[in-house]
Amino acid sequence: MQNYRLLISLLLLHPAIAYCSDHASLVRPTELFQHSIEVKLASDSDYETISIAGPRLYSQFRTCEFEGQSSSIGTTPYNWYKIIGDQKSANRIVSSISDRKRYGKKIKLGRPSYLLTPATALGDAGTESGSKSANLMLAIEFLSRTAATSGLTTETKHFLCLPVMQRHHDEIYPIHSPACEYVLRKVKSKPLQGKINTIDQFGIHQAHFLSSMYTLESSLVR
Amino acid sequence: MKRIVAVFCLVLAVGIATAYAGCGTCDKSVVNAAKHNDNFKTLVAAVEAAGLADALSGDDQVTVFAPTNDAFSNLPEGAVAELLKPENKDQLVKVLTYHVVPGRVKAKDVVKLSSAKTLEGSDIDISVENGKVKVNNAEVIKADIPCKNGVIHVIDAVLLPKA
Repeated sequence: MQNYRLLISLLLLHPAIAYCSDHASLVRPTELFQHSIEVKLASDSDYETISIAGPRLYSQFRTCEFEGQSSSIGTTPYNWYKIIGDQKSANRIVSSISDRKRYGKKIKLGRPSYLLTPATALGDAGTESGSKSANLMLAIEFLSRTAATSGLTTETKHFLCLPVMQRHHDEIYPIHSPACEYVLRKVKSKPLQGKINTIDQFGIHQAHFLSSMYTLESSLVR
Repeated sequence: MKRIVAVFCLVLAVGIATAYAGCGTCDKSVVNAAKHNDNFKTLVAAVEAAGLADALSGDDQVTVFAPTNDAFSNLPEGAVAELLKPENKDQLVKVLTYHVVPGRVKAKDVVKLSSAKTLEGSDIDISVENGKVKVNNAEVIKADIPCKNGVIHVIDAVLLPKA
């Protein structure tokens, strides 16, 4: 119920929407990392343990900063870890949200699918880290229905990415910018080539790009 | 029978979940964590021969750039055996402490540095080249093994302090 209230309030607060074309791409890690961590949404009273495996996706979102006003500064690399196993949180967050401005109807959220952790991309001659205040996020799936002129409705898979706190080996990762959220839309995948080396809180990762999967539809800044 | 199977499944599930959630090295010192990893047999033997095991098992946080067995085997033939001789203990201590940086420096922070002062007293050079993290001429091949008193980054070559 608490989550329901939070989610309702989040999107009724007339979000300012900035559009960009950032993609989240499917990747195959050279070595799969698996671990268990504890996460807590801002509205939660306690941490909950989830198991993750990855990275499975990689993205470079436009950095969202919220310090009294919205602004975008550069991009922040993110590694996406698949949430695996039968998690309590899979049902906990199922709820309805209403984004009248963009979606015009109630949206049923599915289970959280990914943990997004800020990363540092290792380049040929240096690194790219993005914002120091980038949040960890949970990507929660939902379907958006669109009515076509023919009268048929189509469903498109989306992710709502919400800031989340994390506790890992007694180290707390706070929510730096609670107002920053992202919405991604699934796109027709296109094959990608190349690889990416990154460092995140779980160590060094090398991953091969497979295909583009999602595009950043909007960043919502309350 | 169904009850027995159910209890067995529950016990198995709890066991798997517990094992899965465990960090494995978090409750061990950097020395004990290395002892439990077959890739560090040579390093552990060297640390013990140098009498550094206790110093690296205390409460002070350290960051260890740990060469693998293969890294040691890439040294010139006979070099490791020579270093392990009691009369060369000072030299061994110098080499090993050159792999240790005071404090807990995770990989995400290592890459922000261009150098770091080691316990030996001199600096190691840190760089990112072609998407790889390099410490002097060694590559960090695995990072952030969390330990009770620090963190281990695995490297593929032995670091040798300047004479």
